[in-house]
Amino acid sequence: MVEIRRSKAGPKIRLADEEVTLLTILVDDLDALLAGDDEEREPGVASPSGGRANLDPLVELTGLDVDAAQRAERPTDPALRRLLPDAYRDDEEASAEFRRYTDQSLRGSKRADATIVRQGLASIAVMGERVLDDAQVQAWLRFVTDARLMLASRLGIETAADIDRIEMLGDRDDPRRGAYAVYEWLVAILGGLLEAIDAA
Amino acid sequence: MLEPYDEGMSTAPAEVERPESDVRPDQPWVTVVWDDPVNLMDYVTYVFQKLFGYPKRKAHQLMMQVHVEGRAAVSSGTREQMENDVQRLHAHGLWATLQKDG
Repeated sequence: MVEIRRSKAGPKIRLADEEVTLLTILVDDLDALLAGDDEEREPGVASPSGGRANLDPLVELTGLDVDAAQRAERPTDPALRRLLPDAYRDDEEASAEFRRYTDQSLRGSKRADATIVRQGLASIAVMGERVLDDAQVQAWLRFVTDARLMLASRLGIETAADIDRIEMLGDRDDPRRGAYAVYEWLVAILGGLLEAIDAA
Repeated sequence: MLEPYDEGMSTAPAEVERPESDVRPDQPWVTVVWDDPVNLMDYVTYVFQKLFGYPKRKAHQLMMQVHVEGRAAVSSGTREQMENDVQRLHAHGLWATLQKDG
């Protein structure tokens, strides 16, 4: 079971093998969710609309994909919509404009967090534990938060009453019980990290 | 928000990106954080301290306002500043929007 202790260099996190496996699955899930339709944005692949057959040198050089930015639309997946919410409550146009400028960097920063966690998990898989420096702790906090938001959305948790309903589930075979157990287990990781940096 | 952990003492978190540490009253835009049943109360308090440089007490007050009233204005400033705050809050998994003050 997850164990997080303070150390001079930062929180030291110890995970069992099956916990590493589980977190790695969540990293992959979240990353795939955030990547969205990235496949069709790969340079060199002709898109139905643009027919871009060759590598775009500007995209190659700068990573700035203007087409992708213009395609930044409000996600239809509820989990993704919670991770990348509208910035304006009653102004669709302003929200769309905000999304055009921020969607890529927001997805990018969340995926960068996932990558840092994936690297940490790889070393925990070998060593059993790992000390996280400040930047890594921040990435873990944000990743675990995002993973919980993703699971909550999949579980249909929108209010506190929804949580009560899931906790009362009588059917042992209901798949939501397993997902909810993972959701709760992530609280232990998040809480342990916050305590180890004196934020709890 | 969820409250599984006891309130405790805290050192000031690092990584304050903007020095002005208080809500600027004359500015016409505000950033609003909305309650959700998922995010941990301690985490939300921590994010307010880290992103806005608020002392623990103020960050905790704002978190409680979000929790009890369903939302709280957590910063104010120009529209550009608030868009930046909203983006940073989204990067931390908080549900935030910006709007004209008043």
